[in-house]
Amino acid sequence: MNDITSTFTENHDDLEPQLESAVWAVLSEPLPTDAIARVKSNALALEDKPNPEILPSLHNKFWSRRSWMQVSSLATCVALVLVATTMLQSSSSAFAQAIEKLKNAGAYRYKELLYVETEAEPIESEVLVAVDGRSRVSMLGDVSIHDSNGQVRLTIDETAKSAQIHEPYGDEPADSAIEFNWLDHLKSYGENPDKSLGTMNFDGRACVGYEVNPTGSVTYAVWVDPKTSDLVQVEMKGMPKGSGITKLVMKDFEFNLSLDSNLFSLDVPAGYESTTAEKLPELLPFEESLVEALKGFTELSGGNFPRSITDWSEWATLMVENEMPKEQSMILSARLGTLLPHLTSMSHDDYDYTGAGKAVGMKRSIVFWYRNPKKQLRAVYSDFKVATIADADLPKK
Amino acid sequence: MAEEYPPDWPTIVERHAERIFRIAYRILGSVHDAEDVAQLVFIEAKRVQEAGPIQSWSGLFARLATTRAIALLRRRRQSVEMDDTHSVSHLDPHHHLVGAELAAWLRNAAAQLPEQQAAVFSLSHFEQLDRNEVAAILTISVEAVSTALYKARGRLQEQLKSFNGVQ
Repeated sequence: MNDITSTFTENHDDLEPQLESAVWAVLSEPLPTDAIARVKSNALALEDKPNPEILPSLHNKFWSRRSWMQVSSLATCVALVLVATTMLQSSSSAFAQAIEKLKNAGAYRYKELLYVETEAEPIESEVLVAVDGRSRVSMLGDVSIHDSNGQVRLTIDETAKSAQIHEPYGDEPADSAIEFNWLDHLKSYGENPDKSLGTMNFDGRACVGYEVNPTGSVTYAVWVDPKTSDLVQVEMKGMPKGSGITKLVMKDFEFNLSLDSNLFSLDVPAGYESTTAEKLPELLPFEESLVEALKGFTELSGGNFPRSITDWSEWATLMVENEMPKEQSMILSARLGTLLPHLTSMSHDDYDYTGAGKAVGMKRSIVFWYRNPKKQLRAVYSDFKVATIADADLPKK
Repeated sequence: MAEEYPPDWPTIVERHAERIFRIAYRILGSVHDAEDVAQLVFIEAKRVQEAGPIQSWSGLFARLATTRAIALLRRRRQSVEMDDTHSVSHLDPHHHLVGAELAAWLRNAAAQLPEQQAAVFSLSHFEQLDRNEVAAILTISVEAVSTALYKARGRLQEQLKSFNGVQ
């Protein structure tokens, strides 16, 4: 740094006196030498850590839960990972009775806990479901009302007293409806879990557990109170590689409730300022979505590929920092969100993202490969070209 | 050009740590936050280093420290209520700001500037860099630096006038 006293005048000669005083006040603050020593010590500790991770506490300063969930919501992250259906093989009476209760659940509520690697505490939301299938999700001061097809129709920011109306985009159930399909899947399948998980106590209740192994990498652990056949907790694990989501837990179920229909109203609450949301962009097939997503990221990052295509924190940070227009960020998020159900349906051995540390313009190399349903190996290259490759062409681990 | 013989990590840390911390501290006014930003900057720089040779460690560190500190300052202002001891908004408009209050006011006001203006202002006034140096660090033109600095000063001086009740 230049000497303050000698250069201050030339740099500040056209400042209004009080502004100049403010600058001087900042410059006059002493620098704590002990803090500098700590900075050096912490930085030196990085020497032997290739590709060091940002610590959760550090990460959180730049990446609030709210931001994370806003982007997650855009890309329908949590919803889409629940795409797998269940194939239960053996029977259990407690499990069967719990499922039978689900079939007659009426209106109900439960708590959903999203566990993310970078958060010490789970991100909690409350879900209310009406008899007609409408639902209301409350999370971090935001409320979203979904129609019976699972489409988000109204989002409410209770803090800002604002609401956003979302026009429906078709008659088909939305991908986001899958968020609730874990329950539908269990209800529709019936009586036969894959295996027993033994017993475990939940808030003083001795429960028996059953594992359900769907296709792809996702597994459900369903915990039932055998005395009452009540469903106590459902855990979903096995998210796509690198997603940062460790598990999703559904608990505190209350069934056959009498819920006020106003809770599910699609009308903007009185006194709230309302806007109409942009329509969701058209969704593309998997490979096209991946290529478009990677192109979008590298345009924002100066050519660098993302560290991950399933951990979206870096993506969202980049979108925020570049002040990406909402329309473009919606498209990019939609491309990103399209990837998850496909990745979820694949075995972890059948795909890999290898773009971390690579950049556009560097030597051409594979940034992503996967085995498609025809068992062909397909690769996306750093120049965004896609090709069928042989096993021998796969990147070395 | 990239350095032919890049320095080892301890040398890099020794050479740049104080400046990184200082840039962040001037912008944020919090030792704890400045330490966090400095660590984040070193982590990011290490990743950049692993991806390819660094053209200028000094420029990279100054750019990362400035932009990351400003980003944190802006987010903090948007999402967290500022501590009353650091806020001047509750003061009587005719209150005469002094010392720490002025510094707190400036940081709060800088957080409301567009990011580039805030970065240019911080590097110009807190780091005492000339326009060519600021342009090189932020990889923008000297003209863009001049424009951003002019606008930043104008906005800040308007805010001061408004605060002082001088219309």
